[in-house]
Amino acid sequence: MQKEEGLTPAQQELENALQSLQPAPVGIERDRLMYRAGQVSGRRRNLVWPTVAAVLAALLTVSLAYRPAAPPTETIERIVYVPVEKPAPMRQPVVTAGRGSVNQRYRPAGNLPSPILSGSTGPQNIL
Amino acid sequence: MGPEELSGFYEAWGARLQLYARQWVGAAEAEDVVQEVFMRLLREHKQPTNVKAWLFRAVRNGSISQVRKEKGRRRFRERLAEGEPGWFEAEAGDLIDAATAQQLLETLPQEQREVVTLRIWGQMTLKEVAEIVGEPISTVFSRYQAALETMRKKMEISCKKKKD
Repeated sequence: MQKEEGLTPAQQELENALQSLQPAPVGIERDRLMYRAGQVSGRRRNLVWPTVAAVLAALLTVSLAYRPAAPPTETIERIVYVPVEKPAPMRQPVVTAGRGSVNQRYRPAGNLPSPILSGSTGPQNIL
Repeated sequence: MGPEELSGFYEAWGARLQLYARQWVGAAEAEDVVQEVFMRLLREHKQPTNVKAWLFRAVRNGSISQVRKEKGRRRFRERLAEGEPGWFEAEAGDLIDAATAQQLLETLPQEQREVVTLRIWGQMTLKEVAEIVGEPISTVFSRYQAALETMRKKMEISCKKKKD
């Protein structure tokens, strides 16, 4: 310890004498203190995850409770004109009177025999 | 701070802190105060810059609040009369008798006794003592000087009486 200036020699002597005394040993058992220290240390570490979970849960609750309402939907009515193509008129098959005079365009595809074109000589009524 | 580091501080300062606490409270309460202070140190997220000063300040605050709790129940003098263990460990190389020193310290006013305890057994400079007690250095030095002078005079009277 640094000597104090301003003390008389007698006071310094007393100061030295007092310094020679050692405080009584502590009554606290070192092992007990270390046990408590371990408890405190362990508790501090264990608190991390519960704290994080609690904070997140609180945030979630608050965000659910105070969720801002969606802006009201506004319906605007208007008339929209959509150009629609007029369908082409269906072509009617052209039939001419007479034997075997059906237009070749209406000949059915493939080699199937057509009752119209089968070459029968009987009366034809195709309509 | 881990338990190992805490153990180091305890070995170095435990007895001195307990002696400091006993300036206000009894031996059993002083133990509790010191133990609680070490637990608080462990819980501190950031280690104090000056651990020794922090420990002594915390013991001071803890002891004073302990006194407030038991105010009116037991006073300092009453506790002394209960035959509590001595403040110092008597050893062969002591330059002053441990019991005599304790008696002399007990007669000092609280503020003087505190300064002497911090200065001598807390091994602090007057500046550090002033920071802990919250007084100017000049006031602290005056108290220290007055305490030593009072003790010296009482010892002289005691020696004369023994010679007579």
